[in-house]
Amino acid sequence: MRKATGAAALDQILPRKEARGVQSIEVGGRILAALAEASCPMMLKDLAALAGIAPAQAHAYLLSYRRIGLVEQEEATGRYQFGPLALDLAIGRMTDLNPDLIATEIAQDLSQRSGMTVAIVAWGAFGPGVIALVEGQHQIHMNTRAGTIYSLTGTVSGRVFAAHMPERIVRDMLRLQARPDIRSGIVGQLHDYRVSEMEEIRRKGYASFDPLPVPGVAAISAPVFDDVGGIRLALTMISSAKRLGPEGLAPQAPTLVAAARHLSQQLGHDPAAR
Amino acid sequence: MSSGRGIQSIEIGGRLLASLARQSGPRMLRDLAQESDLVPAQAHAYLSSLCRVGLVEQDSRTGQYRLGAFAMRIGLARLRSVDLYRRAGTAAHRLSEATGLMVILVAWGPQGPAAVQVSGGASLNLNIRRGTSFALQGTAAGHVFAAWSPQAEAAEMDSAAAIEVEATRERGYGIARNSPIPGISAFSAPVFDAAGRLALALTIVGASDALPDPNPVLDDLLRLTRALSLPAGTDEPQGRAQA
Repeated sequence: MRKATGAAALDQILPRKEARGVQSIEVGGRILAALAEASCPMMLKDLAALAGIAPAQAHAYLLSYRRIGLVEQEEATGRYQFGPLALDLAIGRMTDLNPDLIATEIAQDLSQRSGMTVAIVAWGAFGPGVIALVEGQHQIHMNTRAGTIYSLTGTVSGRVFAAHMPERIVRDMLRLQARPDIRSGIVGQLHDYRVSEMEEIRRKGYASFDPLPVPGVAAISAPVFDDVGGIRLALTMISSAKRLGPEGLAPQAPTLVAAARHLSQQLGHDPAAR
Repeated sequence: MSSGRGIQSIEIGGRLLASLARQSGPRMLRDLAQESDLVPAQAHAYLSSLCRVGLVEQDSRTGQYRLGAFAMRIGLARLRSVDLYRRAGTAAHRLSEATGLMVILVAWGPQGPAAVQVSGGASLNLNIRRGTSFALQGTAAGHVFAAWSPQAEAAEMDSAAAIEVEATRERGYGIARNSPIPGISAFSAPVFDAAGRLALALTIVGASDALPDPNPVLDDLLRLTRALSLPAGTDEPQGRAQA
C-alpha cells in the first residue's frame, strides 16, 4: 500500500464485497454497450431492442446522455451515435494507459499461469526487438534478453510480424537485416519470405517453427493488434524443448492466443472494426 | 423516470466521468466527489456502477479510480461512426502505408490536442502513441489548433508563438522542424467539418532529411486534408483552409 491514509479512509466507506450501486447507471450501460456493439449510428427503436429496454425508457436515457455529450443525434436522420464526451473519455483513457505497462502485466500473468518464459516483441529500426522478457519457472539458456533483435523470417516472433505487416515494409526490412553489419547482430537465420507460409500463420493465429531456429529452445508467437488493425506487438512464449512433450508448445497455443487477444482488446482493437 | 425529463443519475454520472477526463492519472474518491458536488458515499455508489459498466476502473491496490477499457471503446466507436473521422482515419492509415511515415490523427481532447490514432513510423523510435498530447506551442499539430480552433483561443501565447501561429494560418499548415525532437520533423494540416469548424489535424512525422520543405508527401497531405474538408458528396473546393 503506497497511500496508507487514502486506503484506510477508503476501507471505511467501501464495503469489501458487493458495493451498493446506482441501478440507472447500469441500465444506461446496456444502451451504451448496444451502441458500441453496433459501431454505427442507430435508430431509437433498434437501439432499444438491442439493449432490451422499452423505447420510451431508452429515450429518457438518451435524452440525458445527449445532455452530457456522451451521445448525439445525426441531424439528417435522427440516428444516435456517440458524442464528443465519448471521445474525451477515450483520450483520457489513452493518456492514462501505458500500453507497455499493460503488455507487461498480461505477459506476467501469462507466464505465471503457463510457467513459461514470455517475451514482448515490438517493431524497431532493425526489425522485431524484445522490449521485455518475463522469465518462467525454469531458467532457459538462450540468446534472448530485452533489446534482442530477431530475424524477420527465421524466428517465430519475426514471422508473426512478417505475416501481418505490409509486404513492402517486410521486404525493405529483410534487405536491411541481410546487410552483414546488421545480420551479425540479430538472432535467427534469414530465410526466404514465402507468401504461403505467411498465410498459414495468419490462418492459425500464431507462428511456430520447425525445426527449432535456436537448438533446444521452443517458441510460439501470437500477434497483438491495435485499433487500426495493424500489428502492434508479438507475444512470444519460450520454453526449453526438453521440458516439453512431442507436440512442443502447441498445447499452450490457445492460452497464448487468448492472452494476445485480450491485450489487443485492451489496446482498443475491435475485431469487427476492420 | 419520465421521458421528457431524462434520467438524473445519468447526468450525475456524467459529472464524475467529465471529472476523470479533465485530469490524467488515478484519482482519489474524495477529490472526484468534491469536483462532482457529491458526498463521498454517493460518489462511491456511482463509481461502483460505472466500474461495472466498464467506463471506470479501480486500482485494486490503491483504491484509486481511472477511466476504464469501455471508455476507450466508445471513443473509438465515435471515430468510426462519424463520417469525417472515419474517412480521415482510413486516409491517414493509407498515407502511412504508402509513405512509410508516421501519420497521426489529432483531435481536441479534454486537455488540449491529443493523438487519437497513430499509424506507422515504429522505426523512428518515438514515444508518440495514442493519448500523447501536443503542446499548442512548438508542435506542428499544436500550431494548427492554435490557428483554427476556437477552443484554443483562451490559451496564453508568447509573442514568438503568436507569430508562428499567424504564419501557420497564412501557410495553411503547421511545421515543426527538428523540434521538439532533434532530427525529426512534422507537418500538420487542418481538417474542417461541414460547418467549417476545425475537426482534426493530420500530422506526418519523419526523419528531417526525409521530409524537406517543400516535398511531395506534404503535397499529398494537403490534398488529402482539403478533400476531407469538403462536405461529403461535393466536388467544389471550399478554400476554407486558406481562410
